Amino acid sequence: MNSKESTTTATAEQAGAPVVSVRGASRTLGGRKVLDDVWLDVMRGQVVVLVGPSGAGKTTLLRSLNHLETVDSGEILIAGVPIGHQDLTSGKKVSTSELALRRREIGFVFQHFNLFPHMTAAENVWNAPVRVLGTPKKDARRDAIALLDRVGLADKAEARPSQLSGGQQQRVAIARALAMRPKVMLFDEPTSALDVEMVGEVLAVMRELALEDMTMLVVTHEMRFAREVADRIIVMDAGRIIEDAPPDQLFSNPQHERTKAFLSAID
Amino acid sequence: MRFDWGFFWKSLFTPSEPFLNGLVLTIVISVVAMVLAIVVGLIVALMRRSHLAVLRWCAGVYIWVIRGTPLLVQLVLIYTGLAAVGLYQFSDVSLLGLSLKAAVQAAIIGLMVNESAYIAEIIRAGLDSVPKGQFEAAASLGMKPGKVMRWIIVPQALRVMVPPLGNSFNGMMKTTSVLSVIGVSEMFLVTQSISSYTFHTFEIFIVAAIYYLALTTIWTFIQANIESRLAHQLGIEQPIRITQRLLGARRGAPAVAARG
Repeated sequence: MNSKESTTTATAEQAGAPVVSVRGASRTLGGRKVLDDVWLDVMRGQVVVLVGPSGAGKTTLLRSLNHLETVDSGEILIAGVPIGHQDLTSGKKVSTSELALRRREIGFVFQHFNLFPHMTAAENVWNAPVRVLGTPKKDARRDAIALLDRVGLADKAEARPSQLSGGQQQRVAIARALAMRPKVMLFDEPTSALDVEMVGEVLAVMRELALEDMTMLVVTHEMRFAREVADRIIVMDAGRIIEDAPPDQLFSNPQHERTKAFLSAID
Repeated sequence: MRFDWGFFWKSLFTPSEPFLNGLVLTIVISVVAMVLAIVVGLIVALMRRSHLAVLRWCAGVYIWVIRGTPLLVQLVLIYTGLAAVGLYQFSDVSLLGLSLKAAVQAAIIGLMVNESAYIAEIIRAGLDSVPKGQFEAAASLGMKPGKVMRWIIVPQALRVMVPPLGNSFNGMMKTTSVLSVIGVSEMFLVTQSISSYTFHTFEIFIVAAIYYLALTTIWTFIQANIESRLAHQLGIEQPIRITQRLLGARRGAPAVAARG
């Protein structure tokens, strides 16, 4: 089954198929449409920044991509593989363990880091490769140190999350997600919980990832980052995607009234 | 005052064989019942968190009934009541070369059932104390639910669970004295019989009290050791002085600082 999965993925990528594909996703919560018929394709290596007023559905959309939230209708494919408990094309139920398998390829970075407090920084990074992929501990540990080095924290390998600053914790969280060699990285307001002076170090790591051609979806309010790093900026409002354009175009010539209102509000 | 010091010292430092057997039985019953109660409590706690309403409901009723009735009543029902209506009669069995008296079996089952209802709530509270973000982070790394529990949730929940579990065990060792009603010859019953044929009631019960105190004190040290190991694992060093533990005035355990 594994080999079958990887062949479908390989052909999908060769054909230039999107890494992330959202097809008509909708979700109603308490009578309010938090996602309203969202269609979105993200190609390999693209950096997409999601912006919009709070409650627009950015975080819900991002979390749905990893099945941390469910959608009522529509389909979500990551590297051609459906995510969710129901396989809409075949109508088959997807088991929890099969879902876990599919989630491995999607890295998620949380607003509040969610590091495992009972493990050191290095353990946080090597834990999943060992427990999930069965990587030998020695190799996983070596990779973990290399990853921590990449985010500038090689000297903090043995530190507990409680001994790290917010910015350091978030960088460990990024390393932890990268350790699973994901096909796409999702960032849910990764700098919103940080003190101002720590925002830069996290954005620098993300910038580097973007340069290395990682496919990334980022919900953020950091407009400078969006302008400089994003290939596309997606503006959401009331559960809908109202605008989807490269940053230059969006900032110089926004099409939608709500986009104009939003951009002027954050300037 | 007619306090027989000679009898007191003799009973304290060279206790009779029946007394020592009673002491051993007290310890054995406490440990076995506690281990079984943790197993049953874990099952009941997981049932309470189940997706199936039937399981949740059953676990809820179990906890409600067991916690709402006295241990003494439960013991008599299990040992005498079941036999009286002809449902089940405990009989002596020999296990691994040791003979296990009928009353001892009933005692272990009674204590296990009683304690498991409380432990189920302790375990549930422990699991609930782990923030939702920990489940999400583990799931987002592709861990299956069993592994999420094993590697991420339980190690964190233990820190919250161990202090009340330890206190449960402490209580359990003292509660074994109730078992005398169904004729288990643990420390209390032995003490009572020594008292009735020597008439040194005060002396011998003081000796019994000292032995109970020794048991709970030793356990307090063991528990302190387990807790500090767990705290160390989380990178929290907060030694609670043993005198504080024993004499009270112990401040509550601090919330885990800066949860990842």
